[in-house]
Amino acid sequence: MAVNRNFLTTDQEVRESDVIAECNRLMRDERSRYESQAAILLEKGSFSRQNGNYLIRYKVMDNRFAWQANPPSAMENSYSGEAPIPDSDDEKIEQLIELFAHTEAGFIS
Amino acid sequence: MQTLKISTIVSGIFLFTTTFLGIQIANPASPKLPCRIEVSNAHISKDVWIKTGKRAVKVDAFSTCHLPQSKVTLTVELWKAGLPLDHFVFKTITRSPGVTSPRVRVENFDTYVFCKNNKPTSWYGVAYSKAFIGGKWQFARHVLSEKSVPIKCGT
Repeated sequence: MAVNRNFLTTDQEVRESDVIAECNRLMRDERSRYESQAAILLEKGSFSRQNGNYLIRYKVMDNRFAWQANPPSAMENSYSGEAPIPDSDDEKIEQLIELFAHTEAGFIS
Repeated sequence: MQTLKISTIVSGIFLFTTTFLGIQIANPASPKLPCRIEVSNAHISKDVWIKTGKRAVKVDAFSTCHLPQSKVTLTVELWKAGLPLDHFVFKTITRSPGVTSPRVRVENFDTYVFCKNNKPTSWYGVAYSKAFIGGKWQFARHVLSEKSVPIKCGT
């Protein structure tokens, strides 16, 4: 299969497009749920949610929001990430909405 | 957009340190580096833009090795250039727990953020990894995108 110069195969490019489009949809359609999740995370410092096969744990760590997505089998790929915590409350909510959508949209690689 | 597409050309190559250099020297028949990370320039996916009407800036990376490696962790960070300091924006980590065969890539294509406005911003990626190779943990130093060109994507 041909690999494009931006590293992705044609199939992976389709997957990329689907995943990022889904992320965009989730940010719009699940905004209310994400705002509730963000309130819990900011109050308690952690939050977990099962999304498909992945258990996703979110944490507030020092100056960053962190997440970890673990599959049911220890032999499958796992994913994690971090983003800086913005200064204002509104920006924190927006950051978390994008983070929740990003993790629920799925993984490209 | 063609310019953007071209700008995603492979940018960084890294050689695993000390022990790997030793392995390479011990096998001079192989002219290729034993292990490397490649990281793309930051770019905007044309397909996503067309599909959603929204733009997301993204950086991709992969790690590959001419030797079997296991427990590979590949981290990709997205940064934007600024004064006086550059700003860390987002990072993702892919962990591949099993054994990765020689020349098979461990990929991280999940590092992206949506643009909030059209402000020209210089973005770049940073990638690094660790893996268990030849009975030892090997750490790959940070590799940066080759170019940090302004993209109409502010956050």
